[in-house]
Amino acid sequence: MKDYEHKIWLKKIHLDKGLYNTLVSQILNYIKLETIIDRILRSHSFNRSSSLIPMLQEIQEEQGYLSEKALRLISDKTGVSPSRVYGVATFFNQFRLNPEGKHRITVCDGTACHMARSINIYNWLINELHIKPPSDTSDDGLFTVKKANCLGACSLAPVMRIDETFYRELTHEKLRSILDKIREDEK
Amino acid sequence: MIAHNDLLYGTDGIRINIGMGTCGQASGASSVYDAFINAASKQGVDAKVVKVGCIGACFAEPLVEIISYDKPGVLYRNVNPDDSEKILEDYLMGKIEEAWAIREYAGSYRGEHDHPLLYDLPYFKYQVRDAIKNCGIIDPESIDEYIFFGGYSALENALKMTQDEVVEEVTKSGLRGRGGAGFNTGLKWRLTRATPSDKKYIICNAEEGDLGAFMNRINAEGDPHKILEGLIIAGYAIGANEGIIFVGEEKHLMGERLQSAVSQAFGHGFLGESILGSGFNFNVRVITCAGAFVCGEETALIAAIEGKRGWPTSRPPFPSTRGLYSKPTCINNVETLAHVPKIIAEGSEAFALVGTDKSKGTKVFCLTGSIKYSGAVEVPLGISLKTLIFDIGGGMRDGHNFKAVQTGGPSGGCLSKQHLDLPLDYESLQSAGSIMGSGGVVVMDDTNCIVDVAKFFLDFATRESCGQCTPCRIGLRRMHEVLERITSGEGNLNDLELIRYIGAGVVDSSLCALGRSAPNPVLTSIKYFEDEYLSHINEKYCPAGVCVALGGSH
Repeated sequence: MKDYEHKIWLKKIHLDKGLYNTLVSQILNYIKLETIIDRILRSHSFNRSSSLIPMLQEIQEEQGYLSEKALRLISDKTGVSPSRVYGVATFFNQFRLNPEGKHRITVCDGTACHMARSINIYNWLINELHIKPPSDTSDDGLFTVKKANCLGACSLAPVMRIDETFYRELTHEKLRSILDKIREDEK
Repeated sequence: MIAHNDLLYGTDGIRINIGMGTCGQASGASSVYDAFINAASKQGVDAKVVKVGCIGACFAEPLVEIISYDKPGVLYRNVNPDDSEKILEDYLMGKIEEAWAIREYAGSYRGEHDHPLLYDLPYFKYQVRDAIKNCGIIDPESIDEYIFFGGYSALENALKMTQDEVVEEVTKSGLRGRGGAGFNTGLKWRLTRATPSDKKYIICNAEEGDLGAFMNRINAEGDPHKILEGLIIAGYAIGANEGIIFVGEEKHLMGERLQSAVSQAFGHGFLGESILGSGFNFNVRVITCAGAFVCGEETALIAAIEGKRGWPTSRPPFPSTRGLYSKPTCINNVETLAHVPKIIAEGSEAFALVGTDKSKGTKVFCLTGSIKYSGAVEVPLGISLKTLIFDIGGGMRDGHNFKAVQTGGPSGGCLSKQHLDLPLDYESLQSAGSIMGSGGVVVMDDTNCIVDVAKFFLDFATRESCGQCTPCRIGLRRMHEVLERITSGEGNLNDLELIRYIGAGVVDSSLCALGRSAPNPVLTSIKYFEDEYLSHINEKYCPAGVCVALGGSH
């Protein structure tokens, strides 16, 4: 079914506008997922199950997380069992099953950062952003705060990365001004 | 000195290198880069401003080097973007007061002798650079610069040799795996080569999951072609037509640089069909790991590439006989491969000039923690811990006292003052209960609590345990609980015995190297720092003032 065919079909059954929009966006999302998966399957000449991880990575890159729908669709398309797809998605640190905030803050928790009290940086952030573990994302959807095993910038401890930018030798004052700047830009 | 060359300099004969590795960027090198471009245009000079990798002196970032075609490089440390104009203006007038060091004495500067030579600085004096030689000097995104500095000549040599000759040369050099275990590289190649098969694989392990280690990142960010060249030579030697570079999840820039190196190498005919007319075909692709420490282990790495959970399998069969997609596979670390071009280009003797009897050549160590000069240094194997920490690293920061040094990351051990004269080679570190590992050296002073650090490593290993075998999954968790008890003031005298007992069991019976080595940091720290544990247990006191329940302020 093509994109517009869904719309015509939905129009016919006279839904209210809110429900109509939700359904349309869900269908569009589904079609998008399908396109990504088909594209990856085409680009991988080697066997299908080994493209599982690149596929999960690419979907997460586009959608920010792996929805149950995405995992099931991958399973259907590749013939890899749902349990194995779920097993892989939950095994690796990179994958997440919940939507991510707009900015990803990665606090390094390697040895050098740990010794430089990186835990204080992490605690300050989740406190400031009112994040309650096990959730890792602020209510306004602006920030996700994660710990990383080691970002490999040990000489600059404690460090964190926001999206693709690194910040070195952090203090609470530095954190405050970094967050203020991002919030200002978001306005 | 480099001859004047259109490739390296702007039309006015000036080149400005800005250190733009991850550490440089974290220190604000991007704005320094912009500032120097503006400064050059304001001064009206056509200079080539280049984003180079990291020279290894992380404490000096952002680092800038200005070179003229008739003068050696002048280095400036901790450069502020606002000073760029003055630095360049002064430099053009021959004034280099603000400089940190100069690369060599040649040409002339006013005030020249007030500035040390780079390799007279203690941080560089002991270094012998081979693997990271080009880092911070060449443009990592330019294959032409790599070729200009002698790159891909080793590949040319190798393709004129027979495959057995290449394996023989590497075996003779005594090169050992730089990723951890220290297995002889030539032997590993020979084993993979000897297994008959229609298809073989060579994998470059760039996962670098070790905590406190970033030498692979620096190497691949600063000089990706060298690693690629090593990989192609290795592929030729073992008879593989397909190479895979497996990059760690958090190392974004490293992945990008390697990917761009691969594309350029295809364009120049160093990859693809019949490389340099030799009839040897070789393809490489870059794969990003989805993040799991255990994937540094060879069989887990293979499982991850095959699209499965990173679960190790028992060995034998070793990957050299049955690896990726059940085909013979050889896996080498980034740094191991980075040594290969020199061995082939200059011969095994040139490589083996430095080092010890059993540990030949040089190794990159990452100095971090409570040390004054922190960064990555490449030194001959066999230098002492004392030289590394005090002469190169400048000793402790802020007048604190040295307490311990942790080598080898989560699989290594905590060594104490008594080990400072220990030569850094594979066997000596092992005999002291630690390992070389990937070369991370984390230095601790009297403000760091040894029990807390041991707990940190166990926490890490517990989280990263793949969960497949019981000793590792449950044993590590139990050990962690005991340490939790000790650091919260509820420890008792049997606890140390209990940790030793469980630890020995985990070491003996785990399936893979992660489990077998995970108790190491705790066991060595109990062995060498028992007093500190006892103080936590008996006096309910944390001498370093870290453990909160014991009067600390962590």
